Amino acid sequence: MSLITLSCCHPGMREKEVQIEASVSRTDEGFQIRAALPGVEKERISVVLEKGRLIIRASRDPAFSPDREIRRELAAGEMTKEFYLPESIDTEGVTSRYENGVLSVALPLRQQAGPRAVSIE
Amino acid sequence: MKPVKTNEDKRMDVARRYDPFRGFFDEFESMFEDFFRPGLVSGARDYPAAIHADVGEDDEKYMISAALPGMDEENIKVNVEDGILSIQAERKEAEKEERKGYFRREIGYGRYERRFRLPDNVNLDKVDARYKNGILDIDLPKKEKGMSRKEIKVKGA
Repeated sequence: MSLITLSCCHPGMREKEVQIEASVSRTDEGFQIRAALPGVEKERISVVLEKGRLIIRASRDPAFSPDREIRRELAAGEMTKEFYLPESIDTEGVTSRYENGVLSVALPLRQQAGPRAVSIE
Repeated sequence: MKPVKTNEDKRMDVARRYDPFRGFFDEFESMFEDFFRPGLVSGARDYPAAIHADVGEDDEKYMISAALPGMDEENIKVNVEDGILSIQAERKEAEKEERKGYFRREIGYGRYERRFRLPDNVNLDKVDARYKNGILDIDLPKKEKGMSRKEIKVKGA
């Protein structure tokens, strides 16, 4: 079983972009990515499948303008996370939803034929 | 062993260094500092992890925006006691996910906690909290000017 591996610090990554924290788990249908995007409006999230990669991008403004700010700990600005997808993913079937500050991306595996006996001639 | 600092740690360091309000809003932070390790949590913790928050202020109120992605609002508690505001939350994990296993885990689960020492001029009767898009927003209205000042008449015997 090939795994989803995570690209980390690949060449060309823009330094200013904050890495989004995400978990990857196995599901009955395939894989699920859950990315933490607290405070991000749904309209400012994009999920793109491109050349065997899944790219999540999001942006968020700081909660308070600088003249009102006492402390800032939350990520703001451009955020990204990128995954290399295994060949076994059915890219047509990828779906995603955003709820309570978490983006979930479901990555189903391609339907494969079950085990079968090969006839011997 | 001191782990390598993550970007998140560095950002927090910067936030601290330039924080003119140090004392308010961060009194209890250091006790959780060593517990917070993004990306590390591979199983249940038996201690609460820290909650990250932005804190702001305008003429009428202080505002806290705390990041609590993926929670249910009934699992978030906000309390004020002895001038300390505490946020406690719990992220539960779906059984299904646990059974199937993780390849990478950067969103933990279990208990989360953060405490802030509040300035004296917060009107505790009017504190308001809302949860939306994974952010807990707490408004802490300031007492009207004059409410914290009162002249006491000295009576004769």
